[in-house]
Amino acid sequence: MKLNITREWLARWLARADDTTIGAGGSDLQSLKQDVERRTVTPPVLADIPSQLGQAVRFVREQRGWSPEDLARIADVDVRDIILIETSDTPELSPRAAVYLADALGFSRTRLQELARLVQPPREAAPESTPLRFAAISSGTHSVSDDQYEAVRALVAVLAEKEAAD
Amino acid sequence: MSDPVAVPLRRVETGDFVNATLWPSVDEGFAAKADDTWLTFLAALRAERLARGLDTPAMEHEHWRWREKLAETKSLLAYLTMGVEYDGKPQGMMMLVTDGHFSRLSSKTAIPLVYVEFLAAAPWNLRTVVDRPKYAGVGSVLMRAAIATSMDLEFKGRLALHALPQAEGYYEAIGMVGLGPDAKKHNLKYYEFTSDGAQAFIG
Repeated sequence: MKLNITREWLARWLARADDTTIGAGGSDLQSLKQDVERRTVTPPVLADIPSQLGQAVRFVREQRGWSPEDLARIADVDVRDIILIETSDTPELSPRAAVYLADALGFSRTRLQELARLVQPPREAAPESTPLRFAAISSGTHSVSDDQYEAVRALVAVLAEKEAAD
Repeated sequence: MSDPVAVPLRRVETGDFVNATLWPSVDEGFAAKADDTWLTFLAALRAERLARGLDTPAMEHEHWRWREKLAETKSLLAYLTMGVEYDGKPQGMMMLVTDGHFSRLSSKTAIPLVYVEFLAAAPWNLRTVVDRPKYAGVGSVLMRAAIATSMDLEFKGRLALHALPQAEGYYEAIGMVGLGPDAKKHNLKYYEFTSDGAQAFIG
């Protein structure tokens, strides 16, 4: 940084503008956190991840700067499981993997298992019953909308609320 | 921290100048020191004045915790936090955001600028807190540093900020353009330094 502030310059400005009232900043810590989060986990990162389970996992993985291999190692699960979760329309998660992943990601075990159930394909064929996924609205785009981004963020927040049972 | 820059401050009591240090990038330790020294000073001042039956005005940024702000943003290059130090104490701090902000003076083209996310002086340097501030010049030095950052980024000195209410007069006096209260920022008034305004301020 090129900066040369002389006493003369400062004296001149202090004579014109009293800076002993200085202060700026209209953001609270929460909005600062949201901005930081958005810069860390950018909306395009969540595009083309078909399931909400995959998006929630990817969100936290990006937030922490982990590669799929990092997360697999930390959670003690197979890296192929991580890749499947983030790429499959209907990712299946074994009870063991759900528990280990929940612990690694800071999620409630119960809630992650519940989400995993929601995104799995129905056991009995029922045309009106489809797993929860984003494929229809996010496929082919390079980003998710602001509303979708906020929805994923809210989902992550819900998953991260640990219950006493955990 | 980056290489320090020598900057002047004026001791209000005597009118003479002291050689302070501007740190162009501070760490959480510096921020924690600002929280500790500023809040302790304020609490002690309040207790002392109360003992004499006097009120102490609230410091507008009393609820800020600089260490938390640093902890949140330290991994992002777009956030830059600076500090002014003298006598072993933080005299002022400023957090800048160097991308994603654009001038509101032109609606036709996206003209980038540096946004001053937070700027504060130590409570003993604020006329709004103490009867006689200790050092003047902290705000002016930090504004110069913000302009220098904008110039380094080839933004030609353009800056924007939301003024704390007691500081509005200062920003107007140095030539920033006021665009009125911003409902998205607690109705704080929004100000911009144009490139010409910044040049005039640098002198």
